[in-house]
Amino acid sequence: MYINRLLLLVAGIVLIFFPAVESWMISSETAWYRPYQLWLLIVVASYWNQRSRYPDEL
Amino acid sequence: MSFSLAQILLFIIAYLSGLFVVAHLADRGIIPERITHHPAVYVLSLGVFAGAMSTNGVIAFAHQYGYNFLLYYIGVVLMFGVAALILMPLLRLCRVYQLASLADVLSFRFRSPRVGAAVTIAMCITLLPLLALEIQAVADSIHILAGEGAALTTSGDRHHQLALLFCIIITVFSILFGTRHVSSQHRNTGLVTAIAFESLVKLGAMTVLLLAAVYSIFGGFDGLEAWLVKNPAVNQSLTQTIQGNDARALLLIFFAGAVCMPHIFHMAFAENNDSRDLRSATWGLPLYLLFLSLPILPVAWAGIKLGHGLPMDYSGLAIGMALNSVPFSAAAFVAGLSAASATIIVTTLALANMCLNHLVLPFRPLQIDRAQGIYATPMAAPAASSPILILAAYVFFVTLSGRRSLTQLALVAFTGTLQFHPVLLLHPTGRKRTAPGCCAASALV
Repeated sequence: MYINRLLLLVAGIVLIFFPAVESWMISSETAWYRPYQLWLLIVVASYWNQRSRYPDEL
Repeated sequence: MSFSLAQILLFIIAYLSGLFVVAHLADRGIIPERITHHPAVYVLSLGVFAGAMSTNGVIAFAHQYGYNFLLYYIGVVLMFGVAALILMPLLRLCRVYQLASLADVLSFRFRSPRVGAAVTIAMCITLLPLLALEIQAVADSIHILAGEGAALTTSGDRHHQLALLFCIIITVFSILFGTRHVSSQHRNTGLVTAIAFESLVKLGAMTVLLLAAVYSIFGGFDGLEAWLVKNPAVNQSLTQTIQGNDARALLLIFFAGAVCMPHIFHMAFAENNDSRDLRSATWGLPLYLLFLSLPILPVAWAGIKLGHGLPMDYSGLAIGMALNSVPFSAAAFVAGLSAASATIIVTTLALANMCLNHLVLPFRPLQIDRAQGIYATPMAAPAASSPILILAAYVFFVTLSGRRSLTQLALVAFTGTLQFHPVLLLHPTGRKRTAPGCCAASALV
C-alpha cells in the first residue's frame, strides 16, 4: 500500500493543533466563515498533494 | 405568491427533459469530447452525493446543531483526502476486474454470489429512506409553492398525490436514463454529463439563495454581522457541541457513506475513465462542497429572521415567498429538485444494476432468443427495477407520512450503508476471508 508522506504530515499537524484551531474558529462572534477558511486550506493541501503521481496508478 | 399545480409539474417535466437532452447531446458527441471527458465533469458528477439533504435537510441541521452540520461534508472531504489509501486501491480493483458496485466488489473478493445477493437486498432496503427523503423534499416544496405550506406544520397532510405524480415523472426519466447503456464496461457519458450539469444548476441555485439571504434579507454582509451581534443566542447555537461521541459517530457515518452509498460508488468507480480524474476529485469535490455549503448558515439565519412557519428545511423557499420573488422561489425549488432528481436517478440505476447482476442473472440464466437478442434481459431488468424501487420508496414515504425529518431519514440511510464499511476496508488485508464471515460482520455492525 502506498503511504502518502504529505498526508501523514497533514494528519499529524491537524492532530497536534486541533484544539488551538477549534478555539480560533469559534472565538469570533461574527466571523462565521472561519471554518471555511480552514476548509479552503485543506483543499489547497489536497491540490498540492494530488500533483504527484502514484507509482502504481493505472 | 403561489403557483398552480400544473405550472409546477410542467416545470418539473421541462427541467428533467432538459436534463435528458443534455445526456442525449453528450452521448451523440454533439457536446465536444473535450468537455464531456474533462476532469471537471467527473468531479461535478460526484456532486450527486449532495442530494436534497444538502439543499434542504442541512439547513435544519445547521439551525439545530450549529457548526456540526459541517460533519456532513467533512466526512466526504476526509474520504477524498485519504483517496490514496482507500479510493485509489478500490478504483484499481474495479478497473482491473470490471466491478461496478459494492456488491460486485464484495462478491468478487469473497468468491460468493450469496454475498452479492445479500449486499444487494440490504442496499435496496437501506436506500429506501434516502429515496423517501428525496420524494418528501420535492413533494413538500411543491406543496409550499402551491400556497399550502401551512398544512405541513398544522395538519401534517403531505398531499401524497403530489408525491405520486413526482414519482411517476421521475420513474419515466429513470427508465430513460437506465436503459441507455447496458454494458458496465463503458462510461455512460450522457449520464455523467447530465449529473455534472445538475450539480452546476444546484450550485447556481444555492448561490442565488445566498445572495438573496444576505442582500435582500440582511441588506448586505454588514447587516448580517450587525444582526449576529444583536442576536448572541444565534452565535451561541453555532458553537454548541453534540453530546458524547455522537459527533464522531456522525463523522464516521458520512465518511463511510462517501464510498458505500451505491450512487456515489457508481459515479466514482463505474463511470471513471481515468484515474487522474479521481486525483482531481481529491481537491475538486471538497472545493465544490465548500461552495455548496457556504449558503447554508446565511439561509438558516434568514429563515430565523423571517420567522416563517415552515419547517426550517424549506427556508430557501420561505425567503422567495417572503420577498414575493419568482426567481428566488424558483431557485430554491430548482436546488431541491435538481438534487433530488439526480440522487433518485443514479441510485435507482445503481441498485437496478446490482439487482440485475446479483438477483436476476444468477437465478435466471441468460436465454438468448434470436428474436429478442442477447440484450433483452439486461435491458428489461433495469427498466423493471427502477419503478419497483421508486414505488417502494413512495410506499415508505406514505407510511412515514411526514413524521420524520429529512435529516432523520438521511441518517438512517447513511447508517445503513455504514455496516458495509468495515468489510470494504478490511477486505484487501484479511487473509482468511469467508463469505459467512462477511455477512456476519456486516450484520453485527
